[in-house]
Amino acid sequence: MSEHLLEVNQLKTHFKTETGQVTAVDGISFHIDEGETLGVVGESGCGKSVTSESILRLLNERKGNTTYEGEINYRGKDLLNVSMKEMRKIRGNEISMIFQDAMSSLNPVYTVGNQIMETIILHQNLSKKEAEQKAIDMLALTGIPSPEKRIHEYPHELSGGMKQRVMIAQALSCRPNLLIADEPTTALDVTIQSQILDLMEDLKKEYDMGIMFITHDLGVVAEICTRVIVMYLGQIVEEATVKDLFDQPLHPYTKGLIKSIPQLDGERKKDLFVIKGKVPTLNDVPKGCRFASRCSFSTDKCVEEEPPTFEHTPEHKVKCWHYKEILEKEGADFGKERTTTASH
Amino acid sequence: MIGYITKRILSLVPVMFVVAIVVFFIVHLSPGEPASVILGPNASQSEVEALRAELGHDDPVPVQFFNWLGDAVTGDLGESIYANAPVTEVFGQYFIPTLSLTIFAQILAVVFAIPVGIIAAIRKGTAVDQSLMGFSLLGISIPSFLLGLFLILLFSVNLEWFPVAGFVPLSEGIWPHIRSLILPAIALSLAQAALLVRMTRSSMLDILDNEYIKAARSKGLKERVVIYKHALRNAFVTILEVIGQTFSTLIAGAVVIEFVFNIPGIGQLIVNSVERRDFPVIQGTILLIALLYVFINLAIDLLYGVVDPRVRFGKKGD
Repeated sequence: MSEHLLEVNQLKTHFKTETGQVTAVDGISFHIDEGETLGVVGESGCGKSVTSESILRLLNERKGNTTYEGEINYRGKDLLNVSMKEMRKIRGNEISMIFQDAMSSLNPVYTVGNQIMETIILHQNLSKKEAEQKAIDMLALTGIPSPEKRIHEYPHELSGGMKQRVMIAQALSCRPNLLIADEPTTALDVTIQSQILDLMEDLKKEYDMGIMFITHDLGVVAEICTRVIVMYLGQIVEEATVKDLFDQPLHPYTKGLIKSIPQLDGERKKDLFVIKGKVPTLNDVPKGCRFASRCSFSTDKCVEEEPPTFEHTPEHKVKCWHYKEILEKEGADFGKERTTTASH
Repeated sequence: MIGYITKRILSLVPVMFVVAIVVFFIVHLSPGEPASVILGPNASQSEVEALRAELGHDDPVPVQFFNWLGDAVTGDLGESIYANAPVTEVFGQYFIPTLSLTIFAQILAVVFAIPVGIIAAIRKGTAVDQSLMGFSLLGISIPSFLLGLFLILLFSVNLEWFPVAGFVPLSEGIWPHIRSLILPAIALSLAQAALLVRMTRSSMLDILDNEYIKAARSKGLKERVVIYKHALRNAFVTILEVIGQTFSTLIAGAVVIEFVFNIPGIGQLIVNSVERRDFPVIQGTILLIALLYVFINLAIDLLYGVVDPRVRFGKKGD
């Protein structure tokens, strides 16, 4: 048994496409412990969702379009090697998932009660009656008013925030050890977003589960995560605690992400910071450091040779050749500069 | 819901009125006259005129129309000139074989096509999918009468498994009845079944791409449950639409197949009545078939509501 709840080791996920094989997730390693929230951050297309779907093996393996390498250790089992039957027992029961768009993640032709009960009946030996009561309890737990009426309603009769609560109720109905939340608040407006985040915080404490929280919103990360991994083009470029990440980001990409958060105070006329260039496509992965073409610190070495993952501290890892020099030159001030501007 | 149905039924009134006008005038403006057809070529002019007066054909056409329409509204479609029986009775008698054939063909198409379509969708891009799609293209392309003749040649003439032609009513036993219908139903339904296979496949593929299918898998459901519970019910909205259309097409196609297999159905009734200038039968039959079409469409629309809660009407709340 490994000491971590989930330990991903050198995971690679390959897709077969018409133009050849692409590697959407390329050798990533991370772990999640019980009771912690790991944030996974990155731009669209950096492999966040592929990572989460690889853990539950939701990508289409059947036609041989998707192949995995590496290990995903969960409670002593390698999820990449268990049978589909065993995988189905884990899905929704021990590891559940909440998707980005609650509107389209609920089946429009069944009542929400039916959909929650389906999970409960599948994984717990409960009668229909008991399952219904459990579904009502779960909805009540997520703060939905008059849940005994709501379970008879269809998804189109609920608002976006309500639907996301239903998804959470469904995901937590079997008391999972790990919850994978794939941008659960992206489609919601800000007030509802903070309600949902609070709800997830509360439920995490109550259920003592690990959460893998995928987002592109660093504000959300600061609010609820304990540790963060930053992904870029299928690789992890930086791993740190939340505090370290915001105080002392080491990778130029992370710095860019933090700098590009819009500030409410300070000069309004100043343009927002933008990381120049765009993410290369997976068909055209650079040879050296994948961020080199967009990085203002890049040298010939960066273009030629892929950097290994350096351990700045045991808890703070970074995949950059020059992080030390950058840190010496300007990085030390980065956090301070930011906190001072923020406190004005 | 009841309000919606009432509204839909009321909206049928103008539709049926227009159908009645068109039917009546096409029949009355076409050449040929019932009285002289009934009496034969040797009848004298005065005999013909006497019969015309008796049949009411001397009145102005609009007067005849409203007389006919007035009776039709009360359910009286007149008497067949040829059969000396009420049109409704004649229609009922010829309609039963057509209805049997159509329903049987429809069941055959649905039972066969939907599972095949689902298999093709699940196996998309494989040899199984490609050969099923190939066969369905072939099925759509073969004219039903030609297929009917091939079937007769193979199964009736060579193998002698089924009767060559003819219709055995249900009253003579369920197996002889079905046996007489198998070949015509296959011939009639193949093109529709092939169409339904393709529509089921594309509809399923559409649905399987949805996020809620992935979400259903993430709950730990078996693939079978994901396909048949979560995907099929959604895909069924499109499938239902196609079934509704094919049902109408099947009734029309039955006319041809009835001739190939010599089944005494509506098709034969209409063609014979046109030859005999049996005006009341032609008008009545077309009117009743139009009514049937309209009600099938209504039934399909109501079924949408059963399958998909988003199209239910008059529910409390929004």
